[in-house]
Amino acid sequence: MTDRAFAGMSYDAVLQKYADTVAGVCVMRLQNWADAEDCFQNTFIKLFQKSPEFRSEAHLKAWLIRVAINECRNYISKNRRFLPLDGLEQGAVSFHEDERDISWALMRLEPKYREALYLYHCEEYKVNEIAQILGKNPNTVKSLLKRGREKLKLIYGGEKDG
Amino acid sequence: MDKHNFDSLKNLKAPREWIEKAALIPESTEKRCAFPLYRVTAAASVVLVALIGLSAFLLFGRGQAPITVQNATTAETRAIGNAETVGVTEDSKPTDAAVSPTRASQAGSTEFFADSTEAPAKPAQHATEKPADPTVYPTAPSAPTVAPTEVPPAPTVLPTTPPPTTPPAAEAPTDGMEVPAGDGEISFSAVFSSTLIGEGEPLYCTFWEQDHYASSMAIDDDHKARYFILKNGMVLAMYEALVPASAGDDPHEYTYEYIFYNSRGQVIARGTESFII
Repeated sequence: MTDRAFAGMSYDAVLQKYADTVAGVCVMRLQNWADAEDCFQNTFIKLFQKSPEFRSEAHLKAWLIRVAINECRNYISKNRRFLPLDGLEQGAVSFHEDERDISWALMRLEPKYREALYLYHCEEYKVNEIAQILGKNPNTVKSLLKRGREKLKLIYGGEKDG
Repeated sequence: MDKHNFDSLKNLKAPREWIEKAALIPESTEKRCAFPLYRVTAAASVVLVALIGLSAFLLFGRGQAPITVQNATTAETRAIGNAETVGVTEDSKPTDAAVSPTRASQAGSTEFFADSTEAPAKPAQHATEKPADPTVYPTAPSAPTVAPTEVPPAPTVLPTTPPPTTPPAAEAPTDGMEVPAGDGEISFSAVFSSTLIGEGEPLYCTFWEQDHYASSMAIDDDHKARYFILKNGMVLAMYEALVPASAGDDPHEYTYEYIFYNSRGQVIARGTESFII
C-alpha cells in the first residue's frame, strides 16, 4: 500500500516535501498548534485514502492546500469555538511584532483576506490559481487581495508602499 | 509591500512530531482496512438471519401444511353433472374423528388422492376394483385415514352395473339419504384464518344462484358446514348441497354465490363458484 505514487512521488516524499506547506496553511488558518496538527494529519490521511490522480506536482500541491483549508474550515465549524487573535490561549501561534516581518499583522486579518494574502505572498500563487484553490471568482480574489492589503496596513501602520 | 515580508509564516516548519505521525498513516490505514472483521461479521449476520427466516417460512409457512388445497375454489369443487371428485393430499390426517368422507363415488368408495393430477386415474381404478357389487358401501379399511361416520344401507336405486371406463358418478354424502335422480351435487369451500372462528364454533354456509335473490343466513343443521383447522393456522371449510339438475340431457353451467358465516351471523368468507349440472 505504501508504494502508491502521487504525481510520481511516494507518500513519504510528498510528506517530506509538502509538510511545511500544509503546516503553514493550517497554522495560518487556525492559529493554534494543537488544532493545526489535527488538520495537518487529516490532510495527509485524505491524501493516502483517496489517492487521487494528480496531473503534476503543482496539482498535488494545490490539492493539498485546498484540502488543508477545507479541513480547517470544517474543524472550526465542528468545534464552534472562538479562535483568539491575541495568543492568550495555550498553544496559540504568536508572531513577534516586527517592522519588516508582518506575519503577526496577517494573523489579525479576517480569514478570507488572510487566506488570499497568504497564498499570494507566501505560496506565491497567481490570482487565477488562488481562485481555483479557494473556489472563488478571480475578480473576487483580486478584491480580497486589495481590501486585505488595506486592512493589513491599518493593522501594522504601514505606508502606502503596497 | 516591498519592504515588508511574511518570513515568519513563510518559513514556518512543520514540527518533527507531526511528520512522524503522518508517516505512520499508511500503516495504520492498512491495518484498519486489511481485515474489516466487523463488516464480515455484519454481512454474515444478515445472511444468517435471512436464511433462518426463509427456512422458517418454508417449514412452517408453506411446506408443512397438512392439507394442500388444490385450487380450493375451482378444482376441488368442480362438479361435472353428478360426478364430483375431491382432492385431498395424501398426508392429510384430520384429527377430528367426526370427519366424514367428502364424497362417495358411485361405486361406493371414498376417494382420496395425493394430488389433483391423480384424480382421473383413481376413479377408474376403483371402478375396476369393485365392479361386482357397486351397491355395497366401503367399510372403514377401505378408507383408513378418514372413516365415514355412518355407513348407510346400500341404496337400492343405484345402478347395478358400474361404468367401466368413465369415472363413476359421485354420490351425495351419506346420511342415509337417497340421491334423488336428476339432482346435481355442488360443494363450496373456503380457506380462512383460524382466528376468525372459535374452537368448536359451528360454521354455516348458504348459497344462491348469481343474479338471483340471496338466501338468508339460516342457523340450522342443513346449513352447517364442515371445517378443518390446518397446521398452518388456516381453516378449510366445506359445504355440500344438492340442487336440481338441468332439465333435459345437456348439462348447463350455473354460477352460485356463497358465504360462510358463524352462529352470530358474521360472514367469514364468501365466493363465487360455477358448476355444470
